[in-house]
Amino acid sequence: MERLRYSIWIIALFVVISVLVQSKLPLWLPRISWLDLPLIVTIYFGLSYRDSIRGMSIGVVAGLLQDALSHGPLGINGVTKTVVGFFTSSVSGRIEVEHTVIRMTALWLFSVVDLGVFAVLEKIFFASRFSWAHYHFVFTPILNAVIGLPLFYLGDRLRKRD
Amino acid sequence: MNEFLTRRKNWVALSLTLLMQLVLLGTQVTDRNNVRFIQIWANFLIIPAEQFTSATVDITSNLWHRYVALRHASEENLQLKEQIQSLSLEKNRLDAEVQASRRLQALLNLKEAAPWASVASEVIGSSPSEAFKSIIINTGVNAGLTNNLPVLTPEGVVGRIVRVSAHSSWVQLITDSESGVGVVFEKSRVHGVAKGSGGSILDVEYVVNEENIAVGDVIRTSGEDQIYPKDLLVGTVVSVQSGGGIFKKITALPAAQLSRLEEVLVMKKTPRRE
Repeated sequence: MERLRYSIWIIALFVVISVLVQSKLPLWLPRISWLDLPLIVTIYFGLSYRDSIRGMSIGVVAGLLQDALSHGPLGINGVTKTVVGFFTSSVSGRIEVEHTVIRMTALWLFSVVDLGVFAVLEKIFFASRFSWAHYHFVFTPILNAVIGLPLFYLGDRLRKRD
Repeated sequence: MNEFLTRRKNWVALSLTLLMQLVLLGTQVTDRNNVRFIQIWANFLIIPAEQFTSATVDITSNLWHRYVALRHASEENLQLKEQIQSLSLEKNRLDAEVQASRRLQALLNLKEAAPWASVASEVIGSSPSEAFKSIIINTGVNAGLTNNLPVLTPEGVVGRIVRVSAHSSWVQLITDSESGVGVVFEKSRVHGVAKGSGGSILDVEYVVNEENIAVGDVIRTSGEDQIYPKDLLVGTVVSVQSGGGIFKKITALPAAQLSRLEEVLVMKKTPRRE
């Protein structure tokens, strides 16, 4: 399978842009404010590398930046994206990461994982202080998959061939 | 260990990264009581460790102290046993003294109440033969004692002096088979003679069948025998049977504890000097 390669700067740029756009998303496009761009970026780069530590590192940075721009505690998105980054990299060697269906499935599945980890952390740290609607679990992964897939193909254009 | 870490380096890295971020969260987020999670976790980790340490120290300390104590326990045990033995002997001695004091007080009371002069004496022996019921007391001629003087205890009549030496006397107990005491039944005022059975009881004779005598009746000296003063307690009726002849067969238990005599009073039949 052909592997995608990116300059570290490209990766950093994608991460920063995703976080900045995400912070403006509720203002610009409130209807799709559930979309999680840093997560899509994490999944994309995670699937691009077999190295779990690298995938995890991208997740850590994306998540912590996302936390830094939010009013929540630092680390909560960091943890969720750490997990997603790690496991996307772990599975990338075993699946055809450029297949559309697989990409959509991966986007949906890892969005569920992200929400699941977030829900566990929310339960541990915040008890019932957050009111989470159940439909969040249904629509956010779908939205991430639908929006994320074209972004994946956009990203493919910036890759360096091996 | 190194090999394990190398093989599992991805998982180790994931664990460490997650741990660091969870700690980061713990330092920021507080629970409902406004206590930071990091403090709660720290307590969660530290308290069992503290309890374990404390328990270990306690157990070690206990074992040590008990061991040290055991080294001296045997010695101490011996000392305590000796002490207990000594105290037990002391208690027995004191108990005996108290009892003696009570007996002597009762004897003194009797002496003071008696119209005749009397001599208090200590029992120093008893008859070596079962056939003769007698005791030896530590007063004799030197104390002014003579034969046939009555011997009493506060409980009742003991017997009479049958032999006297300079410093001791032989007292024939009322239970001796050769003894006879003139008695009267306290309730019915019926007269009779209490003879020794040679055992521990008295046979009260010469009471005719028509007399109304019952078990529990008290018998006292009648004074008719010219030896025992009148109205001294002799004993209590324990059985009454109508005999084949004209007399009842009555047995009585002596009032005085004849088998446990220690001090007695000998009455001298001379008026007491005040």
